[in-house]
Amino acid sequence: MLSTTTQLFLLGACIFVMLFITVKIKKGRLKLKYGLPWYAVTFVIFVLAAFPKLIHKISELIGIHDPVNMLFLFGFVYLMILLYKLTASVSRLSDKVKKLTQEAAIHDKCENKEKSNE
Amino acid sequence: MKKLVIIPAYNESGNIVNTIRDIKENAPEFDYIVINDCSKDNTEEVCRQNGINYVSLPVNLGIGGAVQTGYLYAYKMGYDVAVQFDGDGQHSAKYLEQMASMLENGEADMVIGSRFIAKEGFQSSFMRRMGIRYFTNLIRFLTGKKITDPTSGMRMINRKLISVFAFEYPKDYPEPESIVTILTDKFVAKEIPVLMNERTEGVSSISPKKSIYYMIKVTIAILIARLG
Repeated sequence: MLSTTTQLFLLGACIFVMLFITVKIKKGRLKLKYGLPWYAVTFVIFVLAAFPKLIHKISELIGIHDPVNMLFLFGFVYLMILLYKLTASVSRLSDKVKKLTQEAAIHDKCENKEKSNE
Repeated sequence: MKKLVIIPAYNESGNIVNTIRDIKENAPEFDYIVINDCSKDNTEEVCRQNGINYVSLPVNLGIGGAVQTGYLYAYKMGYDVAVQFDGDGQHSAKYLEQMASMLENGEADMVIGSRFIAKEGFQSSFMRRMGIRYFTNLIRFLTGKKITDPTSGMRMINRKLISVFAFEYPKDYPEPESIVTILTDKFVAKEIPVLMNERTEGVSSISPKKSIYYMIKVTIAILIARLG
């Protein structure tokens, strides 16, 4: 069972992360789109910290004996999904950068040619 | 027939002038364009001072991205034939006319200059030859076609393939993978024997440390390409 201190610490940490993400989005350092998964995971931890009995209920429900194991499993799966999405968007970005670079280089070339023809 | 030589160049200031001279002397019917892949040396300056036709990429894209820039240029400018030709002095322009004639009479969509048909000239190191033979066998197993020099950087393609490669081309280590892609799509690739020189300056893009990564990555790329 969570001690009250741990509980308070977790709740505080969640609020801190929420604020941190919000400030970063506000400043334009983080896109809301990429901030949403952080909000989601913080929200879930917040709820679980506030109502620790939920953890036991859920782990009983899906047949995992040790609630800690369930938390690790969920955390791991969530991170894998997040990582996959990240690598997918990096791939898309690198394609876009490549295309832009090529078009820019060829565009420059054609513009210089027009100038020298004038 | 409008024909273009695409010369990807990364830090090739020492070789580029000779490469262009070779093309002008031995393949006069060809236009050329140097793709300066954001070189750290003075490749761009050398190009400008010598009146060499070039484009400069604002960021480094690697060999595949650089060559693809050439294909995109060829596509936009309406070229019928485009050939990749290394800027490091390894390739000789005297083969280009012969390669182009094979595309013009329609016997192939891609013509590859192979070091390993006549087995003359610079044959690369033993380890590299083993790696190349592995890819030859893998490609033969997957497509039934024998390509003796699948890593050759001297490859000429027709308009049909220009319009494919201009929009879809692997970013790094593109040679073996793109061969499998076109063979899977029922294009025809042929080889002619060529002599290659040992590079006079500059370094290969594939260091020994990278070669394991190269083998694994290209193998997977080939398998995926074969899926069509």
